[in-house]
Amino acid sequence: MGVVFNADFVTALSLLGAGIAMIAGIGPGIGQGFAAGKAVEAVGRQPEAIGKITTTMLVGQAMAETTGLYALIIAFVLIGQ
Amino acid sequence: MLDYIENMTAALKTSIIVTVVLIIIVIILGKSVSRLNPEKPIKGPIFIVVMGIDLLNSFIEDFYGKKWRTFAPILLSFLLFLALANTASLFGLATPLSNISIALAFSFMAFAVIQISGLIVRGPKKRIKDLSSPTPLLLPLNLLSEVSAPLAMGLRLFGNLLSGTVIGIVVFNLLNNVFGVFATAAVVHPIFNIGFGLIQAFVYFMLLLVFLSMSIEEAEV
Repeated sequence: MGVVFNADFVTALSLLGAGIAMIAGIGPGIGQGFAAGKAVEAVGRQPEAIGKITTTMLVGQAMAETTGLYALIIAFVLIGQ
Repeated sequence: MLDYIENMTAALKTSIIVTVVLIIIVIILGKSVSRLNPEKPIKGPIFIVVMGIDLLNSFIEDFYGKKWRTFAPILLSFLLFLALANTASLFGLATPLSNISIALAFSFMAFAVIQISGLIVRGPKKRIKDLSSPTPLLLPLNLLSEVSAPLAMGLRLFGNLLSGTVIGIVVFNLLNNVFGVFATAAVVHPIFNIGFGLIQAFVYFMLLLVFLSMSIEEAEV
């Protein structure tokens, strides 16, 4: 026989969990900022390669975003509880 | 049959519309390219199409060498579909990839393409040998990464497009007036559909390109 919680309590905790899950946004933020900073350095060193550098940076940032997106999906699932 | 079509979610309807539009566009372009005279210089929009396909083909050739002709069509189809599907909401349609089943279908297609071409090109024995390199102890981890990489590709598309859709809905409902329509149409849609959508389409294409080339060329190293 399982413990039955109050429905409001469950909603509150899942919303809180969704908020906590989005702390993962720190990671992609740091990673993308680091990539952008390095890209700026690279452009400063080699301004003629700006096209290639921008493309590589955008692809890399889109990859780095993945962990943040997982957190976002989990937050959506928790909100929908 | 009509009931079935009516009861589909908006995202599935859009994906069918995008497929049909893509088929029509590609057939028209293919007809007009095959009617070109090779002795005369190419003009107009056809020139842009030919140049774009040539650019992507040479890009794919860098990864696959002689085998590029086998893999270029499916990679370009993925790229075209994703590029059109992610910008579909600019035409007032729902974004197909914001539906988890379509995103997971993309994961499954990536998985199937990678595994089937690995098995056909390398053969089952060499494929197992590739997977159990550098030591057979790593076989479970390699198998796990074969599953998790395509899954991550689909979920990445889903998360990006879903976040765009949700932010659009939030902005539209918070600014519930003419300004809200303007902000959603002029700011949110261009950023999340043209910007992120096209980047994600290109990222999916790049990742499939790299994983596919890894699965068919591993043991040549």
